[in-house]
Amino acid sequence: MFKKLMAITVAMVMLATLFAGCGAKEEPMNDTTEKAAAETKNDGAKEEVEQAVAEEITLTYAMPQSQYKDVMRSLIERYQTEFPNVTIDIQAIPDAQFDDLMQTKLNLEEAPDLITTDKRKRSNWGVDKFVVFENEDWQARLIDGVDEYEKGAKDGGELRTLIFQGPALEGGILYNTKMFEKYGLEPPKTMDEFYAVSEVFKADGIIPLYASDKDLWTIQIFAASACAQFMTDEDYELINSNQMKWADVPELADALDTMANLRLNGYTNEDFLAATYDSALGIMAEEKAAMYVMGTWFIADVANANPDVELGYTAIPFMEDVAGAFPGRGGLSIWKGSENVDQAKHFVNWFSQPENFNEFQLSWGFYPAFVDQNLQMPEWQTKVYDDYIASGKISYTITNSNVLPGTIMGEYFSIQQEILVGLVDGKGALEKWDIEYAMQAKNTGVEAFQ
Amino acid sequence: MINTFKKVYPMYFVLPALILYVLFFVVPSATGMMYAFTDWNARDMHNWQFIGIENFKYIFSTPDLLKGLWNTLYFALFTVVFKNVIGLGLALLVNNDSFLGKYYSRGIFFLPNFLNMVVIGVIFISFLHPSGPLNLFLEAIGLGFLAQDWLNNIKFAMTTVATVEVWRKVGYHMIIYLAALKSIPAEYYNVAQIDGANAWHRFRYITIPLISQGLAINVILSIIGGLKVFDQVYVLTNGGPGNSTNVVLTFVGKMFGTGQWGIASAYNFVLTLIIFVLCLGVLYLLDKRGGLEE
Repeated sequence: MFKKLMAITVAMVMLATLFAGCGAKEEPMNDTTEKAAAETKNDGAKEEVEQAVAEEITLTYAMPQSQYKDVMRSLIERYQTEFPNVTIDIQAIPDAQFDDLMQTKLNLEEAPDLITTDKRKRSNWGVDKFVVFENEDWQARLIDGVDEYEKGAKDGGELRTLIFQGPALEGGILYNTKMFEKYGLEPPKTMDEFYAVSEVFKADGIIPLYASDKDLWTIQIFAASACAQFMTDEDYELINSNQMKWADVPELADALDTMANLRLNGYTNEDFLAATYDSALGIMAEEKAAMYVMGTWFIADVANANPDVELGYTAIPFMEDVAGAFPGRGGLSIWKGSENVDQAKHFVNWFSQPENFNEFQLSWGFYPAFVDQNLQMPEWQTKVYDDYIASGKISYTITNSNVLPGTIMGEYFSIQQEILVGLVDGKGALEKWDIEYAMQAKNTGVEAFQ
Repeated sequence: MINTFKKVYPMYFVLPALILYVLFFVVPSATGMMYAFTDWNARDMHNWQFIGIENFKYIFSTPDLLKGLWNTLYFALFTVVFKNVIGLGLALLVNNDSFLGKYYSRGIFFLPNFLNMVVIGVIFISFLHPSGPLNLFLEAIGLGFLAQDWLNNIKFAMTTVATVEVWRKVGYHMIIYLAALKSIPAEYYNVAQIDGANAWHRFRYITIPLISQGLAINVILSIIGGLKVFDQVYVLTNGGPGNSTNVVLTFVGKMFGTGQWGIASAYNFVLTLIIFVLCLGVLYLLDKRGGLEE
């Protein structure tokens, strides 16, 4: 009997020892939660926000790795110098993993304080997971009547992000202006012109169009931008009400096939499936290729890598000279569950100040969003603004405001890579996308897809 | 004997380990299986409902799962065969007294097993790049026609990923075979040699039967490892190009990452069933041949 009792006691002691570590961390967690609740009450009042950075604090800020550029490092260092109590811990996450990882972190309520978002991301992750900005200093400085800002930033009429710019061009053909001048060529406005200029470059051993298809997000830019030239609001309404399928749009299938044929018919680099955005940066900066399909921010990236290289922009020459655009490229949002909402707001406000925001926007080639910026845009940027934005030759693309809220576009990008390896054609890819789109719509409760 | 064991080591001593096992393995596994029959998702994570076999209907209605299943089975079969054949070959080599570099070789062959898969991914993405060292080497020795875009050509991508896994794990399986080989008394070989048995006969009738337990362990471990393939694909191709190297667990990862947890659980459930059935079959076969006898 005694032995039995001893054995039970030993077993219980072993068990208790094993669990001892689990309980120890519980207290500080409760403390933190209470502190967070107390701090969140301060929301809004400017003085209290200023006071928030009077205490030592670490803010976490997650962004896609490709967006963690030198300018952001420099700005964050400056902020930390000006406000030595605040440390900003950057979480630069590989682009391909960013959306999924953030969604998981937000769902598990373990998200960073600050997150780079855009309208689609917020919609996918849940707009109510982000702080609503009300009566912030920077809101009063926004340029009036920039309806792109409204479309890009607001979710259901509420502002949950400091958007990084006004209207943004999703993508087009970025061409080396000096190379075009050297060969006496004009930027192509039709596909026939595109093939003609490409043949000239090919004949001289220059890659006509660089393609970086290892990164899924870069593949989709061609068709997404092209669709701005033929997709109408009515088309999107029919698709989103399940009265029409994506595969029923022959122009879109054609755009996808055209995109693939550029690779397969030798107008691009042979290693397109192994090439990335970073390799494109090197190739374009070294002037080994004449054109690249990308957003205008790439121009600023190349200029940083090699100031002697000048790139120009022209719309995807698919059907007409209209640039694919989307309302705002990215913005700075605050996670609603953050324990440091006031401190995060302080950073957002500081970031929006002209001297900081100008530096950021010039580095990216963005367009101003605040009245007091006086942004001195470089020549190429002014030309793009005049040629497309000011003259209204822009139309929204497939990937942002036009698809159903909450749509996860990853599979759409992935299916486009299937075209490049010959698994499907444009029409087949869209039929696969229709299945995925319907499933997602059903899961998100869209009545027409139930 | 059994009674003495019970007296010296009372069964309550199992309790701590058992509770931990139940709490951290049995309960989560059972819960995961339960979620396979629900619509649990990120959008409404607290209000899930049982939906029967809807998730299974969905995953079997998409051709991608079948492709993922095929890729998983192909990867498992490829790695089981080559890990064991090469692993046994290397074990025989480094067990041979006449091989001078046997001690160094053991360490070198085992080394990749220590490397993190992400590190291996970075190394091999560069090594296998179209203009990387492998293709340059092939061109330098006049075999340029064999050069490929190893990770982006759909004909080769899955085999390339599986080959990297064989390279990584072969040393691990070599060690298990080596331990089994070391347990065979040298006298058996001496006697067989006196009786006129040649090298093949000694290998077939002495080595193979006496390392059967090591063989069983290696086969089971490599089957499970092969079917649970994820990180190798994730870091080398991320399922691409165009979903051509996706495996079941990359679908699970994708579904989990996009908040479709019910469907992700259903994928996992299917994979668990496959692993269970295959392992049961292999164990039965090995047991039938006496491979699991003590």
